[in-house]
Amino acid sequence: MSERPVVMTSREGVPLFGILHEPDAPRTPRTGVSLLNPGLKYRVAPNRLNVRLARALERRGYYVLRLDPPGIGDSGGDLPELPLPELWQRIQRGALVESVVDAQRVFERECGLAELVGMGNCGGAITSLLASTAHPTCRRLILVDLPVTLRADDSNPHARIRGRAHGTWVLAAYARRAGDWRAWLRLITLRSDVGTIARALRARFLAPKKAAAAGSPGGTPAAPAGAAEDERLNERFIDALEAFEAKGGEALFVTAEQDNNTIQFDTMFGSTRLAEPARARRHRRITIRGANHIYGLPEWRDELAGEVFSWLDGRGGAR
Amino acid sequence: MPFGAAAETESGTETPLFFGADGRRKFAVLHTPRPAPGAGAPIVVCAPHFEEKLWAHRVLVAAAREASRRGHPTLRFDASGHGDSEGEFEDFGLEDFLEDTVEAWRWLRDRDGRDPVLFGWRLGATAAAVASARLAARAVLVEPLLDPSGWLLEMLRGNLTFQIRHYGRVTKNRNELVAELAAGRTVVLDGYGLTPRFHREAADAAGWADSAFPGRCPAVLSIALRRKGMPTPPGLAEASARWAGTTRATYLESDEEPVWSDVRRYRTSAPGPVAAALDWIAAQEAP
Repeated sequence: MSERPVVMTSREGVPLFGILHEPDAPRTPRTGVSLLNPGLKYRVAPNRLNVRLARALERRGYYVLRLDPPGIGDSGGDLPELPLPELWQRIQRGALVESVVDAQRVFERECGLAELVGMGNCGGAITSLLASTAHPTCRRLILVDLPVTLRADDSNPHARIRGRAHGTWVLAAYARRAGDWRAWLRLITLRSDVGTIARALRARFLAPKKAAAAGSPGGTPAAPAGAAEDERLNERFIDALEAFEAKGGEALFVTAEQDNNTIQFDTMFGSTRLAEPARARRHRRITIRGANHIYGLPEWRDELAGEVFSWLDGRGGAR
Repeated sequence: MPFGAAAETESGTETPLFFGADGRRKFAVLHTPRPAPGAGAPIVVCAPHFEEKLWAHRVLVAAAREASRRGHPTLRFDASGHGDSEGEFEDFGLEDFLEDTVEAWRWLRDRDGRDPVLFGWRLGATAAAVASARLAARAVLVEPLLDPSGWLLEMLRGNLTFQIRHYGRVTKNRNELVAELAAGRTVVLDGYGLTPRFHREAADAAGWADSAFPGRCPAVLSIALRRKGMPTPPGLAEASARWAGTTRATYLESDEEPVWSDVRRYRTSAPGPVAAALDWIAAQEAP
């Protein structure tokens, strides 16, 4: 077992935890895979998918870093206790990118990497893509079940507080951090979202009760009618992809057939922009038949791993 | 900035490490309080298992940080085949988790010089209870699984949901899945291989709350997490009342939703039950 825990510090001074896999016989040129956590789950991933993948990559001669971004897993920092979709949207907009870039730079330098490959599932995939623009040596990405869309109505998910329950949610999220001096520092230095706090206070105390969002458990505001259709391509995704392509980057796009994101991926990107001849030549797209979002069956995990190894081994040696 | 071996945080020093023999190396994080170690009893946090561990992870990190902030040296660890620990999930069973718990407790005791308190959650609480009965250790048990095999049976519902999604119908009902296990075949549960061995050991453990516990455990706090108005976990209050016949047993219900299930909002802490546990530990130490 050539794994050891490592600690890094982000530019904001947040301690970041990760597991470094060091191969006994490193490939030439020395190649490292930054395997990011999926969304808000920590570096292990559901059914230890990332542990299994990392150990298999290590056996094939790749260095692997499995990192916890700030507020996730063992790392320092905080994420607010908001409904999961709101935090996912923040991640898709790049909330974790700076810290990930900082850690990847340490990974590159400390392991003497000639090439950094970005890899991640879901939220880890979009963060890997967004972070790739900061690394000259990152010209390959493995993007598994990449979310490509955002809801159109909320560049700030609290731009509109949808009733009393939503306001209560937001205030409760702030209240939970009342004991954290850093939260107070942000408020005093006006780096907190004062507008959102004001809107939440207004909604909580001035809105009539009947205006409260219809009730999912815990008072989570219900999505507005038609929200599922009210989506648009994430422009940061497109910008980052074009920047990645401009430096000669190549990506392996993997989708699980039964993942909820796959339809959006196909309709908004896979069957359109990704199918353009120049992109189709540059990148590879595969679908794991029957697989769900967590790659819950051994045969799906094996197929995923096989495709990743084949793509990495087949196209990495000459770079 | 090179790789570091530990992190300095406002709650103390956090040192990730592996302990145990090759083949059974277990990942752990040691939270060392500042500035004066020794203020509080050492604590070993025993995590839930399967995907419950993933959901609860950040809450357990916060619990360990709060314990460290209060002066308790605190060890969080991953059981064999879980998290970052060595081995495959399918290679281990309940007896192994019990051994891991005992080993973690001894590791921290040898380092600190005092007997740690076991602070277990869900199946980690079950292992903590049985270990505490053997070690004469104090224990805090957050919703221990009184009937691990019944819990697995409930979990098998997830397999049925999976079948409906994947095949469009239930191809094997729960009885048939149990029969598969009895016939020596592994059943997939949330992506984990539930092995016949694990299932058998879970069945064997069904009566632990009466047969193996409290044993030599000198004091136990049992905590149920339930939002007001929701039913409490069956049997825990009654079990605690029975334990009170032979040990110092306390039971409380905390107004908190379970942090180990598929939550709708991101959970980073469970301040109520954690404060209750740490207050109870401090009270045990008081002269």
